[in-house]
Amino acid sequence: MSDKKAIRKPVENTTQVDISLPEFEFLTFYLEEKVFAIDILKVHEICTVQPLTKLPFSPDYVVGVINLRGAIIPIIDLRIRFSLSAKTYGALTTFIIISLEVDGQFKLIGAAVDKTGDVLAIPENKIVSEQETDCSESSQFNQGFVVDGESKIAQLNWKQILYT
Amino acid sequence: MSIDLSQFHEVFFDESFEGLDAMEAELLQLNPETLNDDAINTIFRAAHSIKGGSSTFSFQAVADITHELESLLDKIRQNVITITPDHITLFLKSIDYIRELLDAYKRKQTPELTQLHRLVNEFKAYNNTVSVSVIASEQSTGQMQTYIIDFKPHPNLFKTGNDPLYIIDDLGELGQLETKAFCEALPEFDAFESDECYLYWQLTLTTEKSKQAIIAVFDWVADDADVHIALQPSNTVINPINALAEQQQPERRSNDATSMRIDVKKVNSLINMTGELVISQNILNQFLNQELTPSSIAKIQQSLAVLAKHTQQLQENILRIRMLPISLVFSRFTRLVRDYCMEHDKQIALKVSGEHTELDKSLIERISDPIVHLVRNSLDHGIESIAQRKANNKPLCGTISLHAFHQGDTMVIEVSDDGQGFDNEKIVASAVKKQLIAPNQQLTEEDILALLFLPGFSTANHITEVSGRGVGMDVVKRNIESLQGTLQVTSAVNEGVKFTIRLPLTLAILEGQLVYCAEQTFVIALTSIIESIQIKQSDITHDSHGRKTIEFRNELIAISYLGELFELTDYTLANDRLLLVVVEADNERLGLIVDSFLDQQQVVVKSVEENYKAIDGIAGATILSNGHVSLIVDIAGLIKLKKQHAHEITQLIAAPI
Repeated sequence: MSDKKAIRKPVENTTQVDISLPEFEFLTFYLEEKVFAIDILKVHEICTVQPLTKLPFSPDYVVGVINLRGAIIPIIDLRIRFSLSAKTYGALTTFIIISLEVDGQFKLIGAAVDKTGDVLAIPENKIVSEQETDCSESSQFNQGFVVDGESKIAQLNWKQILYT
Repeated sequence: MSIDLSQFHEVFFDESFEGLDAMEAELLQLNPETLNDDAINTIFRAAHSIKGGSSTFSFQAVADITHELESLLDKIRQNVITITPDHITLFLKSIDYIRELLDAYKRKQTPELTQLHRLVNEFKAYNNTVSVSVIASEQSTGQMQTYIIDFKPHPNLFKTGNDPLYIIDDLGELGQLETKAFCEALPEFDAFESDECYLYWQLTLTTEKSKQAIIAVFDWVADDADVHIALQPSNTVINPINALAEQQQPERRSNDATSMRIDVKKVNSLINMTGELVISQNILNQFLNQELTPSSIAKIQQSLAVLAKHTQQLQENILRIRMLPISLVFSRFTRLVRDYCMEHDKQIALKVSGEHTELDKSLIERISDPIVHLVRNSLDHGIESIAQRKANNKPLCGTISLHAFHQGDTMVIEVSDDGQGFDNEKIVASAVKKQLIAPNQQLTEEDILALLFLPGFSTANHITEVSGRGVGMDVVKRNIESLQGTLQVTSAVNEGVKFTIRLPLTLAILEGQLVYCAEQTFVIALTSIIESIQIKQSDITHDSHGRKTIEFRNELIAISYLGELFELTDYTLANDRLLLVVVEADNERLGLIVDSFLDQQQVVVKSVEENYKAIDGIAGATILSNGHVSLIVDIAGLIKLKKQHAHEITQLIAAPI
């Protein structure tokens, strides 16, 4: 709890213009040096690297399934998905388990990322859902961004990542 | 404040379907000559609770028909009316109809109501023999007619103690009613008087009743409302029976149960076990808080053993929750046999034993159709007609037996009859005619019976209503195999046929062979493994298409490396000696080359589809004792896959080894 407050404080300072706006929390994570944000309500949990079992007839970025307390969860390697250079998993590599609604049912899907960052509180007016983004090879998977101080942090379109 | 009743619907439906099953079972056992009060009381109670529930939840049609059913039962109970087979038939018909109604309500559809009035009238005809006077005008015109009724109450209607809702409800009882309310007369809120009636209606009623019957409904409000009843011109009269019958045809009773009823004893035992688990854990904690000494380590080991035992027991008990008695399947056959005998010149008794044997719920739901098919086969082709049985010196009444029992970890279900048995010559002739076998092929008794399960084989000369609907024995066998089960048949001429179904007790647990291949572990169901053998590379031959094959028990079977088939690795035959698992599904065999054999063990089946999607050739996944995920191979899917990919594989194999 104290952690969250510490993070929230600077955010509140920069948005003193209208403090009454509702805020939404986002988890940030890194691929190469680029930072991404995901709505924290979509995050089921964060776990360290688990042993993977490969799946037949699956795209290369679906690197396998893990056992998450008895549930079988597929893992997507975002580096491979975004055609970044391959990198072996290290101590900071994290599986972010995301809860995604597909056809009315919630599926748990893991994303392998280089490392996770902070949780940011972003006021409503700093969340931009437009398709248009600034850059990067992964732009087809972008779904708007959030503005944190000076920086724009891209949000990802998870359905696009999974089903195209 | 009103309570949201819909939360109780599920329970009501479950209870009602159970009640209907109980009523049906009692009715079928009912013998008009030796009538016993218990049976009638059981039926009465079930009908009464369905009636009560359906009124509470406003399932009016169900309440109406159960009300009539209950009245007749009450008269039978009080010996005012003597029960006859006709009564029983009417009761059974109503039960079928109530099921239909409840199904419709469950799916939140408007139920079909035409049958309701026919049945209600039938009941009334019986009830009326002693019943209070029935309004003469209620007599039916015997023909469906549609009336347009304009019903415009005067504003003071409520003040006379009337309520339009009652009138509309009463009309609804006469036939199929469509209501249209008009609210133009509704004033601004300021001018609104809560005790004045502002609404008026146009009602479209399709009924067999005469106009007098409709007028009678409005008797009470004749002075307080403008009522205009007009007959709709006959050329636009819809024939609701046909229209609805067509609509209804394709829909089958949904059996996808989302809730289940569990014996309180089972729940209590689980609570007990969980308590024990907590105690074991506390004991362990106690030891771990102390300094470890050799003696305490021994005690910890002991406690761990106890914990392991409790965990295992808990697992067994939890699986038992899903177990239901096979009588749920067997009970429906009494009716099937009864109806069949009434329509055909046959006398058949159904003998059921072991109906309390328990089986996993998902299996119960899926084994039902195959058994129905086998019983129908016996009804239609097994048991001879009365004349034929007389000629053969057999008891006139044929017997079909259903017998269930546990044998180790399998459930055995036997469906047998004392009919004519299979005619081997006819089977062979038919198979030759359909070019399933060569004319002069030598066949053992066993081989001949195996022909029955080949696709496209059917001995039935003519199609009847009961069996011979184009679904052959091969489908029955495949359905049972898809449940990890087996189907065997024995037959003796003039003595009868016996089908034996063997099923695992649950699909949640699978007896599997663990194999290692492509750097991971796979599970193959033991039931699909014919044999595991070691072969030499030189044993491998290639067929005309260049596919790898091997001779196995005088039969050429295709072989492939499991990892390659799954496109996980490329494969080169490195060793001279190879491990081959010969598997079978749908009467087809396949050899799978693997790197090594690991343990045989029971594995708990989990879904891959739940969080990902269905994968060809994979039936699910399981968690191994080291916590890793292992994939369970779907042999039937794999064989299909192998056929599809035959071309690609041909190319791969064409390359020199």
